[in-house]
Amino acid sequence: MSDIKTQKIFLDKVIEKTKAKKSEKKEIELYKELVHHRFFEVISNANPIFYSMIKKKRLQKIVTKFIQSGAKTDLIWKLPDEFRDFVKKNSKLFKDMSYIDDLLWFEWIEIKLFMKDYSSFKISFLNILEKYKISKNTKIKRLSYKVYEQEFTTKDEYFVLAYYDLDKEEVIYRDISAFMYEFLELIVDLNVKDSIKKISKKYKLDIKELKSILIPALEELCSLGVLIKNRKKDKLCLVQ
Amino acid sequence: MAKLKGCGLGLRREFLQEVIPSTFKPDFWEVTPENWINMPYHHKEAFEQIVSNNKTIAHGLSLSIGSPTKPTKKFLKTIKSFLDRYNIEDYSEHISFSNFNGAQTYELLPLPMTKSMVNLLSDRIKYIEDFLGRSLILENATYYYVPDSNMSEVEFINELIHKSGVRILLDVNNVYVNSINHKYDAKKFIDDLDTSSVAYMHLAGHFDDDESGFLVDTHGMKVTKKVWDLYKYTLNKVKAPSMIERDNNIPPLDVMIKEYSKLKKIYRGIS
Repeated sequence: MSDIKTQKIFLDKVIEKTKAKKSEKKEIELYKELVHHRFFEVISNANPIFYSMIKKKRLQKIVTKFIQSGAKTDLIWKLPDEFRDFVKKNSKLFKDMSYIDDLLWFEWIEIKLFMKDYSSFKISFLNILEKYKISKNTKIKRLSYKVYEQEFTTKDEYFVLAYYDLDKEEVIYRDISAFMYEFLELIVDLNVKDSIKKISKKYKLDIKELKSILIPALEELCSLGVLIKNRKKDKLCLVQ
Repeated sequence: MAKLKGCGLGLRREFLQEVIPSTFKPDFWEVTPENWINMPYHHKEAFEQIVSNNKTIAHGLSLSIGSPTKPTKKFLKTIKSFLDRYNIEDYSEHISFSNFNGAQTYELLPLPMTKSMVNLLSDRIKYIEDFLGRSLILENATYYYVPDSNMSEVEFINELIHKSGVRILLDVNNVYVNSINHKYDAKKFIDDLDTSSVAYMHLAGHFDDDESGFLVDTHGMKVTKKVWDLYKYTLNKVKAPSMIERDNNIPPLDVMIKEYSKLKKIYRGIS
């Protein structure tokens, strides 16, 4: 038998695509456990809320299917991101968890932001004559469930901003309003001053009052490295 | 580039922040590239300080040298860039495979011990060495199952050494674990191995799994007496640089230093 065939037959038994012979059951069982444990440990540690909401046996079965689907990343810490794709492609398995995509995004983004390199982190100061965009260290997401407050029943439209706080060495989440989201989209293409004018006209709001609310908020977002000056002409989509 | 010598320890995130204040300085540190290519940002400064001030070697996990397909260029580029960035000359991996047609298992799986596999590995070693611009060191892995093979483990490794010229990372714990699981004489394995090719040695703990009936190479506890004994026997034959590997149940640094000191004492005691 060729080496490749030998390897394939062995692996298919380990990932439970085929059954092991009686004479090799003990050995294959051990490899099954080792591989399964590796995946299960990463998925359950990376998704503690998800894991708390699902029975262990159910997750074990899901992990087996995930292993069989063929994870690709060489870097095991990225496995939870691949798991998110697997869940999206196998939504039938999660019919009772309509919030699952939002929840897995929420748990993954913490890892992703935690593992980023912030060596080139820079703070922009607010200048109302400049345009601003969300920095690469930040993610904004439109969600259907308030998973960041562990609220899984009320479906609506929510916006959350996630960024890594260098002082606290942790990922911070902030609920932002649809209005703020719209405004952050505006300042990508228009400077802050013109954006305030535009939005005050659209919603018939007082410019002075708007400035008094928006400028301190923008200053804070700049100081956190969430907003940086946008000197590129290309239009950026906020939701990532 | 300083030559690898003396005794080392695997650098782990769990005790990384204890290293600098402790002033502990092993002869070398071993790092797993896949665990440091990306790292929590608050660890970066300490990691870079340790690696730049100490002899450091790398021990990879995801190369999967025995897979039917070559490692991807993307993966090799990532590894090369890590090794170059931290000025790491010595890079070791395992005689095993962990992915098949791109699907990962993240586990070291056993290879068929055949001439054709020796040929495949030899070609692969050359390809990887050319790509990385440095020689590769390969470790004898543990295995709990023997896939269709027509050579013994030691014949297979010797054949690989002779055909490819690869240097070996001799994991003494793996020799012990395999000898119990597959009922052979560990000392005879050491006697029969071409020890002139040993670049360095690993020592680690294992777990006696009653349920499966196997000794399992967990790296989750301290080195057992029987492995220390086998190490002493091996060291009398080949005085290669040696180190402690711990990947699970990682204790505080002071516990690891105690085990390292024991290693160093044995290493120094054998001329």
